Amino acid sequence: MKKTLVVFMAMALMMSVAVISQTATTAIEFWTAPNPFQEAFWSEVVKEWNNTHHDQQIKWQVIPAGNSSEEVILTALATGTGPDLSTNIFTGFAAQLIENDFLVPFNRFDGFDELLKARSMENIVKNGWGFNGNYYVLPLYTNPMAYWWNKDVLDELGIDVPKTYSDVLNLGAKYNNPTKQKYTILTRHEPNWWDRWFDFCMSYQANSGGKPYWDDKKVLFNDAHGLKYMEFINQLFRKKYSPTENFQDALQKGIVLGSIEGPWGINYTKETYPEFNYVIAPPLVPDDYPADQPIHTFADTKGMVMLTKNKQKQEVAWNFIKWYYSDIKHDVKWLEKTNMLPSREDVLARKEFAEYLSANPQLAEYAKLLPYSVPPALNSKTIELQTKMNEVLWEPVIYGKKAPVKALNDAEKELNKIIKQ
Amino acid sequence: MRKNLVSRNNLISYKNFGRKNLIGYIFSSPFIIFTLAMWLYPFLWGIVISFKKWNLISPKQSWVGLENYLGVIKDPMLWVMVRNSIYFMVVFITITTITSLGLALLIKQIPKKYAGLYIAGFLLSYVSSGVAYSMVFNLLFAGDGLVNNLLRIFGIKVGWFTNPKIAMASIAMIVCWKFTGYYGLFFLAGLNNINPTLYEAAVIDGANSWQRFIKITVPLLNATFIMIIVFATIISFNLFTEPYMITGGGPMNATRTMMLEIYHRVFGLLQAGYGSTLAIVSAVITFIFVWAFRKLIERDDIYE
Repeated sequence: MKKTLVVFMAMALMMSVAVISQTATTAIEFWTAPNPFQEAFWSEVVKEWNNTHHDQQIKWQVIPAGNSSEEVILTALATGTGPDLSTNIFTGFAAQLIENDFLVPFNRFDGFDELLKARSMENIVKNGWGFNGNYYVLPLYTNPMAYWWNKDVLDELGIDVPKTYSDVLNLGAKYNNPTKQKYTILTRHEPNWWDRWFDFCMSYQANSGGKPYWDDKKVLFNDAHGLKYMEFINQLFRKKYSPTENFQDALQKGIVLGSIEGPWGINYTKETYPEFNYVIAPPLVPDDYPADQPIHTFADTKGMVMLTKNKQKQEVAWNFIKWYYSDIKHDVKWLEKTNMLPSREDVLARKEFAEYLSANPQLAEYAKLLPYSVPPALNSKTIELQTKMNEVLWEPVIYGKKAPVKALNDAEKELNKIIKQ
Repeated sequence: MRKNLVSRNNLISYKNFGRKNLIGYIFSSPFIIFTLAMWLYPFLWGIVISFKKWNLISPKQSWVGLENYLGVIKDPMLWVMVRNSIYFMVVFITITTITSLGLALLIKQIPKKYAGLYIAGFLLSYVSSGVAYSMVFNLLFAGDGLVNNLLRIFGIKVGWFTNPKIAMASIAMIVCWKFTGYYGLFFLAGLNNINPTLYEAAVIDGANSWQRFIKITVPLLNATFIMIIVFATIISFNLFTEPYMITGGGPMNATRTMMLEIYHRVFGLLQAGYGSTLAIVSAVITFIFVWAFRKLIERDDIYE
């Protein structure tokens, strides 16, 4: 009797172990951008996934606070506390992570090509997101950058929305008055490396018809396009048409007439400054820019990467990615929650997005720029290059320490040194 | 026999000594273990890394000898950072010494039962979060912040954090705000240690209050001055939170500090070897300054 009981108990134990192991939960750490609108979006999406996939759970959190997401992620990876899956990764940072063997290529998973087609992002991914023949990042959203102009003041002055450098200088001559805190245009002057995307890189891409400002071999921006832009910047600061003080919401408060903005500012402006009336326009170009040519702009575009080397976790991460990217309703929800354009080739064509875009004319203006939006030039040393660019090119010109020609020559020399290291 | 007794007594006392030591070590072991793990190990590891080229996240670490040290010494940014730290140090030590000594002198006049309340109030700035107050000061001193809005009444506009000439001084003022109460406490303790009969004698001799301050208070606070200057020098070369949060090291590298550069090199550019080297060079420079200050102002020939 005793023996039978022991055998029965052992069998029961073995069966329960087998059942537990079959239904064992695999959990992955998932980090997303520290942005309240994205936070609201991912909170709902992850909840939906977790409710329907009990054995494949996602522990979601926003990227912890820090100077930049890149620094925080690197610090976490260095201390072994990094995520298994993360969003908010731009191409240059991905290249840095790839070189250090942190990322897992998605094209090695079953159903990769089908997924690209299903989300209508095959051309986007294959033209600009590849690295050494592999694809480590799946783009999530594309934010074309554009100028916002204060419509009410421009109407009062009887001036059209500025399109060229001369238009801005003429506007400044009529309007600018620093003693009354009235400036013409806001040009970024903070030393953060990413700010150079929005002030220098965007305008270089606009002037040059979408040319990259560097590649993985050398600097390309020291040419006529770069010079024209830096001479314009020099004039803006010498004439004090652009402030060097920090202002919070300078455009919305009427301190400046124009400013470079991303679509993420639309919801904030609507909520905080509902009376503010503005026009969205492409980047400024030199006077001799061909009128029949489209104007390119910089695309602040980020994607999702997989960092876990654990096969079980990779499977969960890939299942989540397939689930997320293959369903258009996630992109529609993304658009509605964040007001940022999903990285899809069919945003303007699909009826699912049409309704939202027609109800949000400001975002529709950004959507029109999508075909001419150029992602950051691919270089694994982007952070170092843009830090140095600030030091030898941008600040010396805006503070009047160097002539644009010298600053560009110095920048080319110094940045090429970094690229060749 | 006598010899045996002596040696036996010695043995007993050695045993006692050993037991006492052991108990002492057991009691102090948490601190010793903590120090070894959290200070000595990282310190030694930092020295090792300074001779390596390592990107912090890769298993590959190659020895580069003195390459990092030569790189740091040849880097013009090192001297920019030393200049910035000296600028900060001059403003910070000058203002904080005046404000904290002034504060201590004021609190000394307050009846003792209320003094604690004032001290606690002034210490609040010292215990508040660097990130939080940096954000508050950034808003206060913004182009359209409270300070500039007040100054605009007089037709003045100051780029507190955007003018390369004054950005570091503005940061120094914020750090002064933080440390005034804390250093004031040291001065208060120093003032309380001065024998009141010295002042009584000086009054009888006809010394006015300024003379009493210069001839008695200042010399007898020498030890406090030294301590505060040593602390302030270390803070000057370890400055991080305020420039990190407010200026990011700009404008024109005017607020770039050693700590900011170490952080940027290690976690921004993944140059762990270079960052460690910079940390060691920074420690050496700090030591030189502290040593020089002590040599200059430390005095043993005070009256008492």
